[in-house]
Amino acid sequence: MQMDVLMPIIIYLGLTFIVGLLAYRYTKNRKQGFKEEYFVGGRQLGPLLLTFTILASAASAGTFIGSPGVAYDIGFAWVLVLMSQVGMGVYILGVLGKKFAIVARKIDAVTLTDFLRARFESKWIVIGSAIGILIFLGSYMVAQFVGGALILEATTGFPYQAGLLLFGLIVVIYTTIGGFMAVALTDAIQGIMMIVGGIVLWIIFIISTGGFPALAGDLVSNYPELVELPGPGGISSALLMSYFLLFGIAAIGLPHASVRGMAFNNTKTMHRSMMFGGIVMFLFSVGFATLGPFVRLLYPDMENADMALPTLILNIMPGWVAGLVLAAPLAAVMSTVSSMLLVTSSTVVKDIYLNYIRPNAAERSVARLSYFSTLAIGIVIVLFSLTPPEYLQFVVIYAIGGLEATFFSCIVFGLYWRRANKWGAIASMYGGLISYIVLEVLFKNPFGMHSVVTATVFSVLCMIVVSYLTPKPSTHLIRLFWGKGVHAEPVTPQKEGSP
Amino acid sequence: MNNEEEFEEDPRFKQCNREFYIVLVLFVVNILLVSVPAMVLGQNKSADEISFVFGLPAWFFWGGIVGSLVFIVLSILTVRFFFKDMSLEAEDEGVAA
Repeated sequence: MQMDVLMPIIIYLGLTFIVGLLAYRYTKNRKQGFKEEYFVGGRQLGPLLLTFTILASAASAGTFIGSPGVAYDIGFAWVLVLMSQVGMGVYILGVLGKKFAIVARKIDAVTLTDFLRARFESKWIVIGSAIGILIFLGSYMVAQFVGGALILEATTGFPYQAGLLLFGLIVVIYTTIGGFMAVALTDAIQGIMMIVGGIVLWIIFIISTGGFPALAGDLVSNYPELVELPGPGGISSALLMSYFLLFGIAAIGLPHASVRGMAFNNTKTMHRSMMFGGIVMFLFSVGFATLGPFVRLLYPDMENADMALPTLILNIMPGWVAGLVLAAPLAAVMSTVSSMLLVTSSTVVKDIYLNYIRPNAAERSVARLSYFSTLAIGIVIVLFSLTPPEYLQFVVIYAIGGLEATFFSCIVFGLYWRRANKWGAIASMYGGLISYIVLEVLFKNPFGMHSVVTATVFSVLCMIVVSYLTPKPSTHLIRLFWGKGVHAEPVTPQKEGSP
Repeated sequence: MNNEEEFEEDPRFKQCNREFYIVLVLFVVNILLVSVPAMVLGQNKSADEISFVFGLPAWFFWGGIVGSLVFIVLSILTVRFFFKDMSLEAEDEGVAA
């Protein structure tokens, strides 16, 4: 085992753990209701925490390990694709906007499903959301844990399963006890870690290799395809545009991202976050992936392209610096998993248990159940990760697309179109979910675009057509969502229609 | 039918809707800023026709890096000049709880 690389990583993991514990004490001393505190941090996030918690939970191991690996194989065309995520923070906050934040307060929503349930008044929407979240977020989390433990093993020799357990336990414990505040605080630390890691990596890379201009000539003569567009990955303009949907605006369909749209304290925070968001995501994206094609020149014939960046880091840096920089992708994994874990747990506790099993559960039993379900889901995910699936990046992109196809149109139309009704939403949610899965299996990437585009367009059409064919939503509902000065009664068991 | 359309819309939502449309425009601008330079300078060119800026392929430099930076500046200006501060409380009536 390489102790010099491992030590900084262990220290760093320990530090995140402590922050999680501190957040728990902070949450405990607050006067607000448990649910609001545990799942959305009491809606008190300021600009720094908001920016990092959105972007760090979105930028996963894919950004730091998967993408440099893909760029190693197919060149700069992939780095260009990755730039489509620069605006992600701007879109998540800008599209959901103040309206989402206001409506969430009106109806006391603390999850995306809360919002959809109140807006469309249907248990089928709740079930569809739960299915989407469990399938896609579940597989996403497994991919992340596997990625994290693989990096740890490859770079330090720390055995895969032990690494997974260590890593998994830390994330699960701090998320379980600290809730949203712990996740947001650790996201900020991890986000800063990712930026610092990227900058250190660039500086050392440029010093040790003489910089990009020195390498470019060799790159062209040895691997000309890596600097071409579309390049070996066949990145056409249609495909590039579909990634702007996938990694950009449709990111609001990621439940762990959109829940952050209800967590900020005021509009100043939101504005600042939109301003910082682009810069931070730019640094995340450029910092690591740009090196991918050059690594090909330095270390050709790598068996597993995902190891391109970790190999580079280990070879050009002294051990303890390498450990610090490698902590960045591990941080990305932790920040992503922790926020997803919380969303998944809230689905079980809030969306299913509180809505349909025991609507009048006491505050204390909700708290106990939340701790328990976060813990249980985390453990299940760790167990699943013990036998790693292949093709990690594929799993991640697949999951992102699935979540977006399921939620995107319900969120946007639910927020901005009064005519959108229950039936439209059901058609749109299941239409998006099912068409996405079918397309991925049978006709992957139709019309030269990523499947998510076709599935999302189909889901939007379902929403519009079916809503027009069926009755308008009730006046009561419209007044609740659009009216002035209306505040919903706190959690009443809702009368549901029979769809 | 009863008078179901008659209710007072939350006055903040007009501004919310405007911001939503502005963001959609920004999205289109983002795609254009990144793809147009990249496609014009790079698409279907062989490696020896491609020029380099700071060691990066010119199409990537002007589209991916510069295009994204211009987008970031535009998004900052957009928020600065078109977005308005407002209360987020459920009832927008002065004192927040």
